[in-house]
Amino acid sequence: MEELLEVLKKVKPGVDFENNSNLIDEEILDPFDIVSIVAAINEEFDIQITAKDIVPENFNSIDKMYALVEKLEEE
Amino acid sequence: MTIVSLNFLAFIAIVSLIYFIMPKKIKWIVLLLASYVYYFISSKELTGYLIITTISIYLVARGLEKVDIKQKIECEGKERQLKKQLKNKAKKKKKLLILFAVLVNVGILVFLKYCNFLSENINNLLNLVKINYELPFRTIILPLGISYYTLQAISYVVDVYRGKCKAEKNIFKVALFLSFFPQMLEGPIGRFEELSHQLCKPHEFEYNRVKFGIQLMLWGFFKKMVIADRAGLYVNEVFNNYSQYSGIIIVVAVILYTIQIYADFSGCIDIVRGTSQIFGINLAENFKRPFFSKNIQEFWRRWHITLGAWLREYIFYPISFSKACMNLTVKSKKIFKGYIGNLIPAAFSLFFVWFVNGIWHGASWKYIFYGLYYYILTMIGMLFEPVFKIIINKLKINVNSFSYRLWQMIRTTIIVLGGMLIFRASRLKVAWEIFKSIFTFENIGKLFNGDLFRIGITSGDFIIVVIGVVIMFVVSLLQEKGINIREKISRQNVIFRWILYYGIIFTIIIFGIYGPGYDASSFIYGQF
Amino acid sequence: MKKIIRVALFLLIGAIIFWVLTIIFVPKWIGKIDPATPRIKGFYLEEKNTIDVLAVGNSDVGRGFSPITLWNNYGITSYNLGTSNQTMLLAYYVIKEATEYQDIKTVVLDMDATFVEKNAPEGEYRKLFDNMRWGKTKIEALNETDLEIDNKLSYVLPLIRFHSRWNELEDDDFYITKKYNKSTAYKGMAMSSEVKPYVDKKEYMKDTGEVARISEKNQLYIKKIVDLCREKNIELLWIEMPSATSWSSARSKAVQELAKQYEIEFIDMNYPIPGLDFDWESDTADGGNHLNISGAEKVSNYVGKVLQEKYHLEDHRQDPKYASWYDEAKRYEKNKQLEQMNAKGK
Repeated sequence: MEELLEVLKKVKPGVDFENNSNLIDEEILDPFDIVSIVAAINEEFDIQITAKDIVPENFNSIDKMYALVEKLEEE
Repeated sequence: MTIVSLNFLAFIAIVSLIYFIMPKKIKWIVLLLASYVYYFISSKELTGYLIITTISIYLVARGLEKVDIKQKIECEGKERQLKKQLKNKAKKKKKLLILFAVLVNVGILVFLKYCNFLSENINNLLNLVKINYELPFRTIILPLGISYYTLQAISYVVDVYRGKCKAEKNIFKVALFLSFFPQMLEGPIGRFEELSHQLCKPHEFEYNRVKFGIQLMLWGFFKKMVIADRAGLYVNEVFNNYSQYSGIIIVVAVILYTIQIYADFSGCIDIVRGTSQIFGINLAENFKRPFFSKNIQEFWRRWHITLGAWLREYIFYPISFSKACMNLTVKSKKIFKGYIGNLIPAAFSLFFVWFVNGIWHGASWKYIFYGLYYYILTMIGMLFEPVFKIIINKLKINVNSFSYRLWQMIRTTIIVLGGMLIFRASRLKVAWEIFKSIFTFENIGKLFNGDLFRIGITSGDFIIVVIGVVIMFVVSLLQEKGINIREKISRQNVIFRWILYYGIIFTIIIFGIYGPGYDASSFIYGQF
Repeated sequence: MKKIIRVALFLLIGAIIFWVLTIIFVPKWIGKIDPATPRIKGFYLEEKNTIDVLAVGNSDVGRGFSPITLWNNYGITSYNLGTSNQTMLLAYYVIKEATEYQDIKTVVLDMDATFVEKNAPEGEYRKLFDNMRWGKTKIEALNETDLEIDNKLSYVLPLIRFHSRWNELEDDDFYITKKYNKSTAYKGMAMSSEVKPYVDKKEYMKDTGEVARISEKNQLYIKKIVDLCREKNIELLWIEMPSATSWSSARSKAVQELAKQYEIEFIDMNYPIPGLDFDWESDTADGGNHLNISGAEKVSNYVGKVLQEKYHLEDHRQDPKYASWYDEAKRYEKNKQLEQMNAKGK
């Protein structure tokens, strides 16, 4: 979780990832941010997030993103 | 059957009556039948294309599901290595299936909509290399809404592929999803999960909901018939005879065209959404006060929303997350630290997004250029973002101040006006000619000497357009602040409400642009 | 239940507003040359069963038949429903409608429209239909007429046709009351006082030996008119106003034949008639097409004599019930003098 937070902060500094759970709905992260975040996460955690995982539910909060990471790590 | 016609209103009245009377289980079938009746009246034998698309995505979606089920069964109790093999095999099968669905449907669309465009360009190429062969042109009538339902069909089958939604077992429900009649003319482009569920759920008559639906339709008719069609008279006169006009007349034409297309398109969507609301179905919004946007990206999230969403889901993300693009992202980040590193993959994906956006609108270089116009401006904006940030810091500009946001809105609007000029001109060359002719300043006088009122519409008409725009603006402002207008009105007292309703209804009847028009000279007592 | 009443009330009030707007937006044809609105609406306002003679036809008779002259000279009460461009089809329905409201004894039908084959321009239909009252006759007429604008609905709801007049509404349009004091029609007749002689001394009535052809459609409607009048026990008199621009010997012969066939009297005033002192120098307003007031009075005086002697029409001049006709005659005189002064001054 800590690593994920670091990655996110590096990609998009200035966003309160810890407390916000509406990152997509409130348009705090735009499509480009998603791409960058996914690229960074893919590299950091050695997983493959693909287009089919890009749903608001998976990226709205850091917890959701972490759940996605865990799920993909298992596969 | 056009939307602005008594026929359409009669059609809705009859269909909704039947819908509300029929038992719950059959209600969605009423919608399906009505939609096919509507479609057949509009497109006759071309309905076959819709049916082909429907069957193809139904079969592929179920096929995808079958592959998944088979794979799960086969994987039971097998070891890791074998599991991975089976999974890959299944993945390949699914890829083939989805490729088939996309190729068939995009193929139909390309053949019908773009074959003449392709022929023309191939012919030009052949001419260039002096090969004496010419592809023939065909006169093709497009099936109603093919550009819309094809996108909708692809979204369904890709959503099933991605596991986002389950394959629908009943082919008729898939048929309804694609053919639901209000969305056939101008969208909105729906997603299967939200739309199909609503379509199949039975909705009873509910006074307030039906009332709101009718009100939304009235608002749409007002925008289209009173504002859009009126502005269109001036716009058509100028654009169809552009060589005769210059300077301020052209500028006014471009502004009026933007007003026209906004009022027309959003008005049409209002009519469509209002109609659906009568049946208890909430179609997606396509416009959210686009001229309050602060930049191009925001504009395209507020204008033709469902198209932007579709492009993001089915062009931008797949391309951005493709292996090629991901590699590019990683590499460029390593080479160009920081900001530019992000730009290169974005530039790659965005190119396709804007290219598809452009060409989806029409089969000509003009439309491709339209898309790329926004692409280039977006890229320039992104490229210079750090520069702007520095300037803003140095000048200590408050980006949250009203004046700065106003500047952003004006800047965005001007960019959009440029895009609309390209969009409306008959060809790219013409757009350039028209653009050049704006810069003849001797024309400013025409604003004041009455010449403006001899171009298809009178000064009275101008006043109506201006009042209409003001009304639209006030409504937009209220909506931007989150106020639900129809609900607010319903809480006012009866007399106010009824005056409002009669006001809008009779404004449409009296000031709407319809009918053969009153030509006094043809009424004058004639010699005989 | 409450909701249904609300909706019904809303629709009712809406319909009323629609109706009022319709009255405002429909053009009022009050112009001097073809005052279709006061002419037709005025007809409905005449007291029941006071009109004995009905003049029907196109603007030749509209400007050439003067009911006031018939009143002044013979005490015959008549009404002029000669609307511009009135085809034979329309004439049939005019007669049909008029005879529902008045106990007409004699119809004077001008035969000029016998040879009109083209449909009238939309405006002419509107002049008639927009002023006609709703009833069986109007519905039948709308169905039969070949309406140029393929939108019969716009005849039922004229507002959807005339809504675009919003920027040309005038005071006249808001003149919703029934009193057409500004009426430029005198028991239906349009008064023209200009004098523009017919100078082309072409002998338009020269006998060429030909007989003109009457179209099947017009034959059909002439027959319908004849049958209708027979059925209602109405005498029918065919006339042709002096009209240098639209008449000829060939045409006259064709009508004469038809008149003989139906045993109807046909007075063609394009031939010299003893007792009718018609003068192409002074009696035409536009060089041979229509009559002016001088011509109209001459023609009406002659026709009136025929009507009195052969068609047994009462002289109502002593009957107090018809006292209002004297008032109308006074208005006519006053305006005639004004008109003629103006015309001379030009």
